[in-house]
Amino acid sequence: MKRLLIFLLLIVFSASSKAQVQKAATLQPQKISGGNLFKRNISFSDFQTKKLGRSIGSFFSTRAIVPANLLRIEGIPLYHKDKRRSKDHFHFDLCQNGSFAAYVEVEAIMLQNETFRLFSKQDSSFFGKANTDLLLASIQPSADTTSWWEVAAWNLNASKDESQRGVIKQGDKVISFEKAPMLLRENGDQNSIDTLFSNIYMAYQFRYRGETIGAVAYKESDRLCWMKKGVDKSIETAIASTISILRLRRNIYK
Amino acid sequence: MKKIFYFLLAAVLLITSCSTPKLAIPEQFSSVAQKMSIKGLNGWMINQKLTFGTYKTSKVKRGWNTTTSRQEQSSDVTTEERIAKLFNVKSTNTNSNQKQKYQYSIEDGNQVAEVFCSERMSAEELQVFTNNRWLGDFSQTKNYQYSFTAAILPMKINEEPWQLVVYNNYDKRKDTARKFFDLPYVEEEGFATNGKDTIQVKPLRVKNITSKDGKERQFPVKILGGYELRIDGGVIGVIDTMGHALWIYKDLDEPTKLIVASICSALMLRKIQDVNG
Repeated sequence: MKRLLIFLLLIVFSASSKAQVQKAATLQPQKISGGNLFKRNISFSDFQTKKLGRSIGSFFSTRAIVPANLLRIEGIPLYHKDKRRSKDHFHFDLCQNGSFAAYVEVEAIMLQNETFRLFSKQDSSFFGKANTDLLLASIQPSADTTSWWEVAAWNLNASKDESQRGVIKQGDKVISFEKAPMLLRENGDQNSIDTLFSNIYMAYQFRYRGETIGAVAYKESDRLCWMKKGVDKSIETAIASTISILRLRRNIYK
Repeated sequence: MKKIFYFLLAAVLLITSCSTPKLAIPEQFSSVAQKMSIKGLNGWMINQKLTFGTYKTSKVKRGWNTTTSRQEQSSDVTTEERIAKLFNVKSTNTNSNQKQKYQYSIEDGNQVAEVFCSERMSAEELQVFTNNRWLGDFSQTKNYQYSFTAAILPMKINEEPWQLVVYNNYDKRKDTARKFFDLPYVEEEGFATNGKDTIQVKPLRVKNITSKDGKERQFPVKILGGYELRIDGGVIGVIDTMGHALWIYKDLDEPTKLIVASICSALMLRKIQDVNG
């Protein structure tokens, strides 16, 4: 029920699309390390992920057998229906300065339903309109195990021509995030001249009560995240957990 | 987009090879402004120095111009990707980054400012390998982010440092170009601020240019001719990137003129070109 509410909230949020470059020079940049072949867990600022585990099912996808897909002439398909189900199920512990801060469990589902017809105009299903691309997660903070944060995100694999966004919710606290071009600082060291440099990044922008309180770079090569100093401890944990989710998730669009 | 860009570049080079084009500055502004020709942009780039009007820069110290490229997950699934998948054609999603830093000082005899600059370009491309000699391989820019940022430090007690930012953002999903001569839709903006005052840096895309013999000519498409600098809506300077000149409002105070000269030199010394630039 709770997840359904979040899902509905997400649809309401989907009406507020922003296109312009967002300026957030007050956010403190932090480097992200790890998340590679040699070190699967990531660390940034005071936060580290530990005990990252992924289910075996996350590495496979199931596909419906459609006999009409055999209609091919010299390799050119006359009709092709791609019905596929993929998932990414993983969990990790989030630690702050070495001590346990939250347990995070994530389930991403991708239901592909794309149809191609050679001799007729392609309908919206070819462009991913009928796809279901959802990520749900729960964040259980160590400070208060009874108050969980719920995360719901939409179109993170970008298979639809819609924006990539989500919400993080606990009681009446709602943080929204959305992929947007952002003007952000690249170095937070106050003793360096680089602290005056701002660059444009494709990032997920976190907003709480109309204010930008965090961001994480979308591109894998931009290993940076940004957080506002002095935000509420539980909100900080929720954002750090979501940053970890967004960096650790796999693209499951096949 | 790249093919159109190269075609336009060739057209521009063909036209400009016959004459030195420059921005057509309106009489309204040119009558109250001082023109300074910028020297030092062409020729030997080692120990490069710029001089214009009363301003001269120190030797420009440049860092390495680094370019990295790697395959990454797609930021959005395009129609071309869907078709390539359908026809079992190999396609990859590549992300390339280019960076450069440089620094110098600028002076007019009385005042000095240190200028530190950084350029960054990040582009995501879809590369399709058809394995067909007639169709060939092709690539398509999905998105790019270009940003130029500089810190201008006037060497004066109690003078705040200025931050200059000029950026371009292109996203194929938002592109409105449909016809051959349509330019891709790029979000672009620029500003310089010290926290109190802000100078807007507006790219000037023009069709009409003035040739060396003073005749007005027209390009088939709008091209980047320079930058217009404004404070509170009023024009205080125009940087002519084609004609290598700075037009500066005569009645500006000397410290602001130094900032305008620093912005001009920083922009003229850039090496990385954005796709639309």
